[in-house]
Amino acid sequence: MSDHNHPPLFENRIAPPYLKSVMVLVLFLSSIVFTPLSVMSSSENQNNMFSLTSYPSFQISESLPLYQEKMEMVVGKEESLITKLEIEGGIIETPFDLSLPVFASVSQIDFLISNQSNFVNVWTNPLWQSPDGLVIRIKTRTINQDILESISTYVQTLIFQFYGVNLSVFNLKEVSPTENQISLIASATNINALSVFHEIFAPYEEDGNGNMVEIISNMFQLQPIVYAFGYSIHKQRVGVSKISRSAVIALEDKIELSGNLRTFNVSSIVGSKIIPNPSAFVSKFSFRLPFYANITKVNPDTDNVASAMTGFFEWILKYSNFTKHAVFDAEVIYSPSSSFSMDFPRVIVTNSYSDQLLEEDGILNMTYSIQNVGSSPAYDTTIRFPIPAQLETFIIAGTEIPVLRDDLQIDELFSTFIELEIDYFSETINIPILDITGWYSNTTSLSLARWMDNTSIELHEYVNIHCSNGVSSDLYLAVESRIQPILETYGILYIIANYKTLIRDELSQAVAEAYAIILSEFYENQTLFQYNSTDFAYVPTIYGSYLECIIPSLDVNETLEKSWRITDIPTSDDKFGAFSISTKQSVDNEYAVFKTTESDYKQLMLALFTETNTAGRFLSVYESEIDSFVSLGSRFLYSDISGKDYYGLTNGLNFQIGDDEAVLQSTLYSEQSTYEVGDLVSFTLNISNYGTLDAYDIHVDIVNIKLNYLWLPTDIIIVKSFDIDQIIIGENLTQSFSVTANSYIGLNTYVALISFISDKDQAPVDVENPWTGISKQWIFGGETTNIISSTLTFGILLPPVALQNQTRPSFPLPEITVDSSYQLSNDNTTLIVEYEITNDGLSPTSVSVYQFVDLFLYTLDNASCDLVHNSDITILTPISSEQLALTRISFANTTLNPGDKLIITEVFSDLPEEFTIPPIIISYSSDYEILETDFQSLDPQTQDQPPENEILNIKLAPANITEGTQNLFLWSSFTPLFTINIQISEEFERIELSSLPWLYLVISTAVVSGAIVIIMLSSRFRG
Amino acid sequence: MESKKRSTPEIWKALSNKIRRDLLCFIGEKQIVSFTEIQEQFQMKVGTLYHHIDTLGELISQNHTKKYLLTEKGRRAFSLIEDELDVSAPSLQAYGRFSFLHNFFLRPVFRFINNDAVRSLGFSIMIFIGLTVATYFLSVTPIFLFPSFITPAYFAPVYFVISTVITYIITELVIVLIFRKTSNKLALFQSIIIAQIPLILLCILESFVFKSEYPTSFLQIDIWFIAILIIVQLVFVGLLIEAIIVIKELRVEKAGSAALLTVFIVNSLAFLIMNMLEVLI
Repeated sequence: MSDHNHPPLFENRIAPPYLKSVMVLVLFLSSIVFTPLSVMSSSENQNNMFSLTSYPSFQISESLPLYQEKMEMVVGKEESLITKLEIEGGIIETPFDLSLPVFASVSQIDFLISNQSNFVNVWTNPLWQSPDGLVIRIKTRTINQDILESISTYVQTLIFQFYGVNLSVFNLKEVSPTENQISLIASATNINALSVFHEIFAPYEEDGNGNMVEIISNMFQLQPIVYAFGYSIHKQRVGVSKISRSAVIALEDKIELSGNLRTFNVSSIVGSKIIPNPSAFVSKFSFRLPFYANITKVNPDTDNVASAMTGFFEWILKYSNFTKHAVFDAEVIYSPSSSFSMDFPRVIVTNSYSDQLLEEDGILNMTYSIQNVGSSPAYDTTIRFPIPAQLETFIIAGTEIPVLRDDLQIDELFSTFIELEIDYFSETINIPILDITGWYSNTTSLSLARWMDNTSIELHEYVNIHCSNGVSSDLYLAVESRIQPILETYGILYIIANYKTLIRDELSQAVAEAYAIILSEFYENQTLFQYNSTDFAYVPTIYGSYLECIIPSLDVNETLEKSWRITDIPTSDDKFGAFSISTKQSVDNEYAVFKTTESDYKQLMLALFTETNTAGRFLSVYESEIDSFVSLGSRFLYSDISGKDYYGLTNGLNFQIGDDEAVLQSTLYSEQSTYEVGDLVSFTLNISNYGTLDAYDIHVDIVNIKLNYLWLPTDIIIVKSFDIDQIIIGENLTQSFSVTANSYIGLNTYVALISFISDKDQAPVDVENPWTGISKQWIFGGETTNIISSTLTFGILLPPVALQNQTRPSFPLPEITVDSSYQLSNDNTTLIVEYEITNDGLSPTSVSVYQFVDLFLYTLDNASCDLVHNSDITILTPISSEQLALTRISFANTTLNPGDKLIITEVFSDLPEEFTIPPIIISYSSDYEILETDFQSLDPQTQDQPPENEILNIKLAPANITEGTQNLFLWSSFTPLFTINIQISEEFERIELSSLPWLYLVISTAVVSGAIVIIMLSSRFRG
Repeated sequence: MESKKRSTPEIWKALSNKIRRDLLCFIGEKQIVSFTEIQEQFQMKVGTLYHHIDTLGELISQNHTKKYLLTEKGRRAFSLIEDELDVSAPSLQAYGRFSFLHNFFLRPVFRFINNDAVRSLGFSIMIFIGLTVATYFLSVTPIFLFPSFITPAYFAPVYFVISTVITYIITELVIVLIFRKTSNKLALFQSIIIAQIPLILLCILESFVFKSEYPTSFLQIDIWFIAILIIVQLVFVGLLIEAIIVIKELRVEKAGSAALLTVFIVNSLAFLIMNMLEVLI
């Protein structure tokens, strides 16, 4: 008890100021710091707190030259009109700063907003392969899960900052073994689509940038039934490589009807004429009919060929600096038709070369055999060969090289030198200035002695130039005129002190002048690779240059031959004197080496190609993206008696000068000239190897093509594929096959595109440059991949009987429609979602139905999938697998016949306050063409690969041919996204707490009580 | 206060001497003591000792074994003396050589509050608001001594406020009913707020540890977190005891008793709320 009388620790019962201040400060600061700390650690943001500082707070600008603006209008179902705008390049504002480290492995980002739920009113399938809402697709050059997750998280936060919506992952796709694509989605109901559209297209809505964007913007105000828009940014390691923007809008009842005639008129539809953007490199407008029609009027004339036969009308408004239509309007009048004259011309042009002349006279003949196998004459057959760059230089000026005059011969043993020897009092300074080797001897009209008759050059009294084997008077004069004035001006003292800097430059000039004098005496420029033809003319146009041949008329079964040739190709029999001047280092200065060597044709050719880094394949164009030399031959156009256009393509040739090569020549032919959708068409494919090496690893794609305004194949659809192991020298391979006519109504074209390897396993060759003596690799002399086209064959494809005379897409496609609904239980603990996926189309389809769900957010209690076929129900078992912290539920991989349904039911529980049920992805295939309406900048669809053939590696002749199945058209539909927000519902809600088991309560109370008791006792009994 | 009114002048006389007060306390604490024990304790001459025992008069009596014990009056006097001792208790070193614990348990802060509860009100309210807002963003709130995940999140601050108020009311009631200390109510309320700080820090830790997967039961919580929880609860109790000592001017034993009772009650409430409460809103 006496302890109670101890003096108190703090007399005034208040803490000393310093301690009090510190405590108050700590508590005050902690109360302030808690709040932001807590905000950062709240559940929405906690994953991102460490990278929070790196989020941009405003959009960044990306810019490329405005390469192209393109507007296309397509006639949809029931006179509806689908208008599409694409802008490539230009300036764009985007939240995605692709220079940030988080995007280091990103190669493409797509930002899309779409609303396509009513697509059935205008088209056969969703216009874009995108679910409704805001969709972000990210393509990465990595499959590292952590990186993908961090990119996805970053983008989710970024989009939340800019648009206030929460994205969730709905699709993951391995694009290739090293590439991945993540797709994220958010509901766009709270986003003002029009204002986002303005953001994306903003720079091009202003005056002075044409009115294409304004037209789309105005259509937006009309509440379009279906719309989608967005942009895509491609990034390579160096930076942004491509910017594409696109918008598509579908409006109903836009085509004027007058009886059976329909009128498409641009200005009456959009309310104004079209003004192209003056800063776009290309501005174009096109109109497309997805059915066979009888065209009665097209005004103005289209820039592409065979527009009436293909239902594709293309006008160029502006190209480069040439504005064709400052104000554009167009009109097409048509009626759906199934009638077609069975008599029409069919022209086949085969291109071949004659190589036997090449070795002897150095002439290459390109011969075109033109034959009309149709049933009526062809008129104005125009063959155009777009001239590759290297050939163009040949045609315009040939290639000039300096060669030895024919009357001179080379004496390789001859050598001499010229050295400047300066005598100054007792000192002698030697400056070598010129070595001459390989001088020409045996000159008859020009005496070498005349050129070598001076043994010394006397310059000033102190200086003599001594020449061991003499020097020409021309060189004498050149050197003297250069050096003498310097000696006179500065005196010898100055020369000795500064000869290196003063005299050497003058001497090299003197040598150069002497070189020119000697060159003109002993050498002459010879032109190589000269073009000449009486049949083909060189036609430069703003779109590029052509060799063009016009045949006014070609009767049925008439065959003509036309040719052009390249002459003056150096041959191995020719000798050329190579002539070089180089520098060489002496003890303390450089001097010139003047050298001549004799070279033969091959060496000279290879050296020329090596130095200019060209391949000698002047009929091909090198495509760096596929690392291949492509030769698509010549395009040709002709018309029938009524003026209707038809087009064709000659076979390509991969001819190479200067090196041995496998050269393939191919023809493709079908007897059938008219057929309907679904008919089987038989073909004969012939491939011959006229080269000097075997061709390996040959892959053949049978494709449909159209020709655009540049006469380039466009809209290429692969119909069927073949693999051939090898075609040996001289082998002629013939393959018959058939395909179902399933694409390209009207002019139904077929071409074989053949890729193969030449110079198999051969490394790049080392070529010594006879001018310099330096060896360098000629990469094009080694293994290369070539692509050639076969001749084109075609028939007229008419719609199936059931779809004839109808203004809707002519192919009997599967059409996937989705009905969906969801129901929350009364207490908000369970969510039941039901989907009904129906094939409402005209043909069966293989569907793959799957969904990615985040089971960390909720529990999926049950998922079921029933296939309903003719009232019979088959129960399918969903299969789940893990992928990037998500669960992929595969509901069905099955065939849906027309009328078949998949009924999917999902039951979710443990629901959070706010969440989304991602859309189910329905990937399906069609036997018939799904006319491309999607965002062109997106990934091409992955086609079914032909089966691997085990004997591909065995090299046998005749060739082993593996024929693939006919390719399918792939598309995707999506169920709607459900965003559930339980919190904002007016229903009752339960407050949930973590439950406290009694054991923890007892332990806690016991420990606390024990501690208190110990304190009390120790206090009581202390001392 | 009633007991003081009933005191007689003899009592005042008896208690006016320190030795007699100590003697009274000695008998009061031991309840029954022999003369020998008293002699050993006080080490005085027998005559002097008898003088003081006589002077205590009616306050003590002897039983049949001649041992001394307090009469009813004596017990009242002893109670008065104890009350006087309580007044000076806060200044004492309750933890002996662990006296630094007073500072650890924020004695200076509680003194700062106790010194002028009105002036410190702004400071306390600011902290209270900070803690309350924090619970909203954490979606975790202390249900008395147990940090619990709570949904919807906007109920976390409500629970925190209710929990704080109830803790205060129970503490105040316990002290008033048992120790009859009614002073400094505002200061005690502010101290309860301060005492909750470790619990909120634990909530922040919980939100970091469990991120988006909040435990729906304490069974899902790792043992190390439970260990931290109990340590934090001990700190809370320490703060509470320190606050009672400083603000209610009670000795540590009494403050401990009050805190112990409070903990029993609030833990029972927490058990009921967290396991049995289902509120529909």
